Amino acid sequence: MNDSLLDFYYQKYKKYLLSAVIGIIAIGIVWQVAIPQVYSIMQVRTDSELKQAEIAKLEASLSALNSYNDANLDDNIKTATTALPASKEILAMYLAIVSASTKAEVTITTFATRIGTLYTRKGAKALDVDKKEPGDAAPALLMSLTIDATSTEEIQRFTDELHAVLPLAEVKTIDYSGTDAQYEISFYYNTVDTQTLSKQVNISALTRAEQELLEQMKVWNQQTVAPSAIPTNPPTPSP
Amino acid sequence: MSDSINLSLGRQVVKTEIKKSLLISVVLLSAVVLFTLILVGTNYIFTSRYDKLVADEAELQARIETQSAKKAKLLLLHERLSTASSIITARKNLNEKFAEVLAAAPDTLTVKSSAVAANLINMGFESSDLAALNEFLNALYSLEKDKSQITKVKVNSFGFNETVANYVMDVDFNF
Repeated sequence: MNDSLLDFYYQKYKKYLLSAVIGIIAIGIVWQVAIPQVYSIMQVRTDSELKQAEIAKLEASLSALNSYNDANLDDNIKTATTALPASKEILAMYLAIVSASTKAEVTITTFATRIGTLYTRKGAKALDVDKKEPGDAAPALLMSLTIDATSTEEIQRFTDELHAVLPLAEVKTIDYSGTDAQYEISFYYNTVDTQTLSKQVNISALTRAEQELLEQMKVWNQQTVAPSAIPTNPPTPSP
Repeated sequence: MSDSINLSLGRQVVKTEIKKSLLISVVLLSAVVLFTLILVGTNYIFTSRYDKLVADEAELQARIETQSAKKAKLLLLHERLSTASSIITARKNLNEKFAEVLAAAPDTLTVKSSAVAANLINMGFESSDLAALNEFLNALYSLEKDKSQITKVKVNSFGFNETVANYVMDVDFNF
């Protein structure tokens, strides 16, 4: 019964068979070739736009790299790492407070700092290594010092000078008793995260704000006494 | 005779329909093939361009890699400056607050002690002039009203100290 029905339709429409086959081939081409090509074109265009953006960034990076010479870059890094050392720099801190006291014309009577842990084996638990205080942008080493001060002007001068020397410091507390003033000062440092830095592909030239900051740091650096100004031998006791 | 003529016309109509459908399908197939070829060509052009971009990118990366030492230095400089900028922006200048409090104090007042922190300044004043202390107290009212930086003023003690033979006052300034 089914065969006879099929045969009937075949006999009726066999004249259109070729047209139908051609139509099916056309649909097959659209389905299998044309539509994937459209998707492919769209994808390649999107990828190209992204790639062009990446190339633009790389070109900017290369341009930024070419705009600096090594000597200039070394000089800038020296200034920046003096401002923000990669580790706890006791000598730099000492130079900073000596510079500030010299400029403010006050005398430092005592100073002390708790250096804490300098190093731990990888994975070891060390709570005080590179720990940032809440609100601070970087870890800091806290220094306590006392200056001879008989007026608030001396305190103000010294506090101002501490903010104009390197490494970057922040006066946390001042306790003035009328004859002296005790300071608690945070000296900032920040370890270099080489892993994060090495992952960065794109580099930009220094922004205007960064250049201005660098110039400001150079001025502050000039105000900080050189290590050679520190006596190498302790004072000899008088007979 | 007329029947045969009619039959003849019917066959012609059928043949014309077959030809028409065949023509349509061939035209459709041709259009599809042409359209597909255009798409394949376009895709080839876009892919070629993309391949060139990939090559350009690789070349740029290689050129940057030749300056890897300089790149590391520049990245380090950026990182130092960025953190330094954050520190400078966040660090509090106690002198500004200290100066604000001192500016309100008359010259006849002596600061005998002070404890300055980020949010609180405690100051001990001393004067032989009671009117000067009174003037300062009045000035403190206006300071609090101005809401400059000071959010609260609290006088902890006020009196006469026989040991120093002066009027003394202990005040907390909250910021």
